[in-house]
Amino acid sequence: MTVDRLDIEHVAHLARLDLTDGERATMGTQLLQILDYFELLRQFDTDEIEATFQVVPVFNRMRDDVEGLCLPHQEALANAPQSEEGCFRVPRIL
Amino acid sequence: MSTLFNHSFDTVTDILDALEAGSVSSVEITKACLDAIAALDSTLHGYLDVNGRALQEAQQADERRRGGEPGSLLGVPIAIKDILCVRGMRTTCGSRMLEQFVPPYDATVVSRLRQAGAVILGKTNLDEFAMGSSTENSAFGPSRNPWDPQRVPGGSSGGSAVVVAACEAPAALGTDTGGSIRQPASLCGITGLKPTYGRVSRSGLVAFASSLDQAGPMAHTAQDCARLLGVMAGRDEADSTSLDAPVPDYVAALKGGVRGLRLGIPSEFLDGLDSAVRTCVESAIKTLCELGAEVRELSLPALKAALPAYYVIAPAEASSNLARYDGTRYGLRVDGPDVIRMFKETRHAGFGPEVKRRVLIGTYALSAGYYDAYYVKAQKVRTLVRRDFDRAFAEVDALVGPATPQTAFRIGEKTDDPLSMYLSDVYTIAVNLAGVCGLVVPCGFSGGLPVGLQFIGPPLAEDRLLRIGHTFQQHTPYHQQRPDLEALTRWQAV
Repeated sequence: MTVDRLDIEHVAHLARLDLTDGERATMGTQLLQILDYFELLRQFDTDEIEATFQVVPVFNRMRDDVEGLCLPHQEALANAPQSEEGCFRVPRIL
Repeated sequence: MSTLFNHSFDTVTDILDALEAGSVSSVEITKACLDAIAALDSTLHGYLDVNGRALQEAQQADERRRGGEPGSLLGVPIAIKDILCVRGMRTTCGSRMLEQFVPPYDATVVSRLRQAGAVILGKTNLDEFAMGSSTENSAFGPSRNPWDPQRVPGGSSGGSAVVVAACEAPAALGTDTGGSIRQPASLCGITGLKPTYGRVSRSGLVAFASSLDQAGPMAHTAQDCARLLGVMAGRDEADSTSLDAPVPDYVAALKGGVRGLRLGIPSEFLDGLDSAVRTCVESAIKTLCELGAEVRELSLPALKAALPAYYVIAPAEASSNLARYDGTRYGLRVDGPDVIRMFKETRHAGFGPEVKRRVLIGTYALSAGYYDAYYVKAQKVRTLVRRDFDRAFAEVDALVGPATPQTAFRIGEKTDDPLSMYLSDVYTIAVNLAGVCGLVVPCGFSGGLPVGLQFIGPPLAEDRLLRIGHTFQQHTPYHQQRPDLEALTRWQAV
């Protein structure tokens, strides 16, 4: 599939990323070039091929349900831009 | 000048021998590194931060040694790429986003180094979130190649490669998602190992592309890398992808030579190769033949698709991993009238251009309507890459070839052209996609710049690669060459 235009504003919104007009222009062009390069992948027939998402077998591992050491509350909040009453503070949501 | 500048010994192995013999203390070695940093790092910018407690840690190591305590790296100073958490030291990932972030815990590899007695020297520069091949994407400015300060050291573990090459540390940790240990090792003339996926715990390694990331050692010799890997490797309950395989004695495994070993040259690796690099690589392969290795050329056709597959998969995983940088729990926050504005403005201000580019590529490749065409397609091509490696390793014991298509390029040369920058990883990337291991050793010089030789092995064959690298280094002088450090202390940018 050849991509001749890309709704970069939409992609940036999905990524929760503000872009300046300059960035939109430059990156729009660069992304199209990069997507064009991805066309190389079409030269490889993968109809009967399984995807590899992980190279090692990954299983969920459950630990025993016993209390262990964890990060103290204060340390967990130490890097927070804003905190209040032991919580992360953010602008109002509703 | 310092002990390290005199080149009397600057390898981990020599330092350990001297410490054991009592002819030098960890404090003296650590001081020598700090002196080298003071003399060189304003030019080279290998470090983002130096550990203010390094001398205290060295003193403790000396006391432990006097008390007869064991420790396979007891008293050896080591630098850490600034994407691995070191408790109490800033971990920036080369990003404005994490400029003030101080992790509350050590990465597992760091705590293992500490248990083995290593002294943490400092945190090294990198491309932002390890995305790049030159360190030019660091928010804090590029590092310079000690062989020619007008040139890049490679990346993303460029700072780690610089500090080892310039003897500002005898060894360093790097991380490798698509070549980020091996490409800078090649460009700076040092030895670097990308272990098998899962060989080393990723706990405390800030995630870029979780199915590809792996930490590994960077040092002057394969022998030194063997010492570090022995400490770093092994199962970790904090990383469910870490492998439960036994950790061999990598140092003992260095012996045995390469006689009868079957090495394969992927013919795809000879395309587009700079002719001077090719000459060095061919001459190195000839040396291996003379040492008794059997060499044949073979084809791994899917290697041609590895680079585009990688640049779908890695950004896709990155766009998901980097969603956590939203100004809420840690890192930069730029306030906004509502939460979504806060997210968007924080990410706009905190991420540099390459990170934004990759987040956009990844988001696009994972978005509705494109997921199968890009992301799943790339993961299927990844299967083809793995199968090619499986087939190759049924015929040969390891692969051998170049590490990079050319020697170190000039600062600024590729920054306006992301695709040409991506191409500098063309020989390293397939190794990460397949999850196998790769080792780079210096194999010559072209125009005064180092050239690297890459060995690729099947899963968990690090011991074999290190043995090949060690054997090569016993018969060649390249790993003993050092840049002109005295001249670097006087160097000024024009």
